[in-house]
Amino acid sequence: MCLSGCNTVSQARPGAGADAGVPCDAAASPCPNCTPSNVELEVSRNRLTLKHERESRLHIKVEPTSVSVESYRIEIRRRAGGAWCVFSRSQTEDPRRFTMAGEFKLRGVATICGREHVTPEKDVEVQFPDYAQIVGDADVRAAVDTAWGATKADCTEAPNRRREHGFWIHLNTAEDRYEVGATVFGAWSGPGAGAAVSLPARPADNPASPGACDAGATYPVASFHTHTPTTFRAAAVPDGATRPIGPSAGDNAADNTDDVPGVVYDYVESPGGSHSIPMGHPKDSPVQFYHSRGRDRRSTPD
Amino acid sequence: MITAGKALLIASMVAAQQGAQAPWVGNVTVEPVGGIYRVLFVAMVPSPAPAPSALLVIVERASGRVTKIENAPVTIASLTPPVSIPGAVIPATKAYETAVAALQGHENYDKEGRVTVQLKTDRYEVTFPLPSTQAGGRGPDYAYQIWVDPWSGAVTKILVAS
Repeated sequence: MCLSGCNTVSQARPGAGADAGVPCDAAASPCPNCTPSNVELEVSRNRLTLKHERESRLHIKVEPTSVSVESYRIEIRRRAGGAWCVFSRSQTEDPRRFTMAGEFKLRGVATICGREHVTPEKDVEVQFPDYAQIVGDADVRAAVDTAWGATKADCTEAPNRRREHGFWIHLNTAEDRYEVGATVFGAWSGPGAGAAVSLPARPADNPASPGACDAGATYPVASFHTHTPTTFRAAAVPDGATRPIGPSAGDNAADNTDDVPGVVYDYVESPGGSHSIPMGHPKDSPVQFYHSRGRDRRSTPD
Repeated sequence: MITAGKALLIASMVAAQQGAQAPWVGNVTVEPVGGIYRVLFVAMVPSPAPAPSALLVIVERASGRVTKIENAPVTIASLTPPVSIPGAVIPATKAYETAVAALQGHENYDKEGRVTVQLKTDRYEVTFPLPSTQAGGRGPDYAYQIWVDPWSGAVTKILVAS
């Protein structure tokens, strides 16, 4: 313990004997400041989006700065419960990239003179990307463009048939990229019939229950399917018939049930304002994405 | 089994014979439920203030016999309120018959499935259900939807399943 000039109650090193005899020489052996006036965790952004806005600055602030801190750690747990895990062993993470979706609690721990000082908890939500972010991604665009090309190729005059294509769009947060699942094909439809595709229910996350400190997970974030050309349908339907464009109420309902936004690839309406396309519409006519409104984004898990 | 369309016409005729509001201008829904069709007519009564009025007719699917006619609760009626539009509007059954004629030779729909006739601001929409083999999944909502001008009775649009 320091002999003079020190407040031995607050500044003594633990385990120091009464006669430790360490002189309080400010230059050679300064007494440690073991009494912080404030310890808090600063979080620069508390609502994040996987992949697109996933960084936040985390900093454990200790006041006064003269306080002698032996170690830091930042801990995280899910807001719904569960154990804390160590997110970082640094005072500052700048930036810290979040790779797990959910509602979280964060706290900082500063060890000062052998005693842990825990900050008040901070809430952080890490949400899934929304429809616009998903369809704006280059990897997603490449995959859906390929599926549309295959849909057009499947639409033939002899035999006169067509079918829809679909797949699940996933976000791999460890690799920080979108991936697509296996393509599901709808049944072949003749020119007089409608076409549909039965995607399986939204796949499980991988891992199914990722931990707050896991390096990443693969999350299904959107459904995708194509609608089909009308190029060879005219002879099989009433004269002058057209077909609606964009997602059906059934599409919306399915995506609502799966709690995801849906991406539908279909033609641009022709003529403008008709919300439909005619029979015999050329295969390579302009196309666009349509938002099947289950959700704008998948709900953030607890 | 009679078709849903037949049930609609039977219900309309019997309702008119029993003094129900006729000709019926508004919405009609024909719903198969077990061994019956529930045929619901909904119209907007203009006075004292516009409000939905509904009539429910039960038709046996096997025989076409009408087993019940009753004023439907307002809560049911208000689920599908038609639009109240001015002028001499054709009855809903006429719109249905016009739509059926437009589909002649292309009757690729479930004839015993749910049929609806809905009055909008500038058209009747007559909707025919998908064949049961095509329903489900991410797919079209109907086999056909025929738009009929409510004043002239002309077909203005034929929509087929996507």
